[in-house]
Amino acid sequence: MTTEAMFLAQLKHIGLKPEDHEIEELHAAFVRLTELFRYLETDESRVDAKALARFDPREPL
Amino acid sequence: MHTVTELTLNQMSSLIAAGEFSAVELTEAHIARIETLDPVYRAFVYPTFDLALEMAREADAELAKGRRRGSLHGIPLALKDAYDTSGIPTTVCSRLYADRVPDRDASAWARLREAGAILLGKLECTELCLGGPSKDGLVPHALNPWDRARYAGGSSSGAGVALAAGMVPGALGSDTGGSIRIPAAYCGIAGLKPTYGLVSLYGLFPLSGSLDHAGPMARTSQDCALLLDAIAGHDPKDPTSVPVARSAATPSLKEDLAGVRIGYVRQFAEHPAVSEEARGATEAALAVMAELGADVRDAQLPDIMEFTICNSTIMMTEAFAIHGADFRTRAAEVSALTRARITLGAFIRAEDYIRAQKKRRELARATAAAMNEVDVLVYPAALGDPPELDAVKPFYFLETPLITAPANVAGVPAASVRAGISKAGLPMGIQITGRLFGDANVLRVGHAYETATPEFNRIAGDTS
Repeated sequence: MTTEAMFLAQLKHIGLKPEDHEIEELHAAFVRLTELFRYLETDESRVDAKALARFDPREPL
Repeated sequence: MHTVTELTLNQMSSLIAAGEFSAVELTEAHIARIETLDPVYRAFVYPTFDLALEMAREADAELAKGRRRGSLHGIPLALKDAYDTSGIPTTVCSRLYADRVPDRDASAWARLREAGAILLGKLECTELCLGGPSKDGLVPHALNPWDRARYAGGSSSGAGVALAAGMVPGALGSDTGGSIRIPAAYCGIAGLKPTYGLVSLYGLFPLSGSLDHAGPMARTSQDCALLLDAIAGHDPKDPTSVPVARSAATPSLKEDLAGVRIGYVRQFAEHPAVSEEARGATEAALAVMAELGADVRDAQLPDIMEFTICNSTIMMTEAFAIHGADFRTRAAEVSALTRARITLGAFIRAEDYIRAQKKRRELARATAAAMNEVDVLVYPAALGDPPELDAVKPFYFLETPLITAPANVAGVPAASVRAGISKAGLPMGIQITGRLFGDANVLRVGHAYETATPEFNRIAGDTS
């Protein structure tokens, strides 16, 4: 779990100014988003070359 | 009695071809309508009336010499303020680009112009194509002509409003997670997000390069087909443009659906976040399609939240990659809704972005598999009525599904078509999704359905 203090430190590290942002709201959204990353799970192997994200100009995507 | 501004783009085209209306008369009628309504609805950010009249005079002069460029000759249109227009401000409605005046035309606009279309002006969009109905942006947000207290949808909000109120017969929007289809649904019009790679993105201000789509908006699917036929096709200036042979959409439009196989994505329509009315409107539309000869059956796609989080993760990451440098020094100049959404992208790790791209390929394959047995998929275009303006939150997509996201993720074509009026008197929409490069099929289904339900056609907006 990333605490709000850790989140704020990361925001500064990125070079953003804390006074420009609603830190509490942004941190809550970040925590929620990381929970929702469970929807990105795939059955694909992480090391199988066929499943790696490679650039293929012949594919429409 | 219809006024000329209430006609469809195709009807206007026929009148010009028959010599019953001049391009100047048509343009003047729209300018008058805009001058009457736009002070209330705020769809236009940069009207170009002098240019429009000059272009209309040139169009009429060509017609007088016997030269008609095609169906769009002399037709006044407008562009979302994300399309570059040479010598005309293109700000994406952001203070970050308040002084930006491109020296090039976006390819999609260049093709419309070559086809004889006339530019009425640039249309409001939510800031940087990602915000919401902000009160703190560079320009005031456009108001929904069906109910000014309700969101017009975004990000191509000005286009939705201008079309619904009869201020323009056709426009170009852009769509990264639903930005053509959401305003189309909330404003009761038609909008198509074409297949990824079919319409050039050159000169369209980027939000998320791998998810952005340029596309037509109009009051009918037939009008969208006319616009699509003008703007589609390979463009060597855009590396995502696909050099495929394609047939025009307009000739394939029919008023029946004999032989068309339609898959109803029941699991999307029955999601708890979708209102009973939205589901009912979709099922009523499917019943009409069945009467028109379609074979309607159930179809299955992956969980809508998989599409939603995949789309949001990629979009926010790519958006911050574009705007991060400005956000480090000028974030305070950006409206709160846009600022929050783009800033969240700064915190997404590369590992998660790559996972989202891998997930995208899996979801695209699953979408293609679901369409093996059908020609199009149908499901609601919105979760329910357009929300009250103050109810639009920056991170709504973390709580409710983004029902327009699947087509962006899979790159397949998807249209939003009006499908009746809710109990609250607001427009409802259905979504029709096709196979890759099956854009004509999508518009065929939309056209047949619209033709069978003329009672849902309505021009909204008054000045009281």
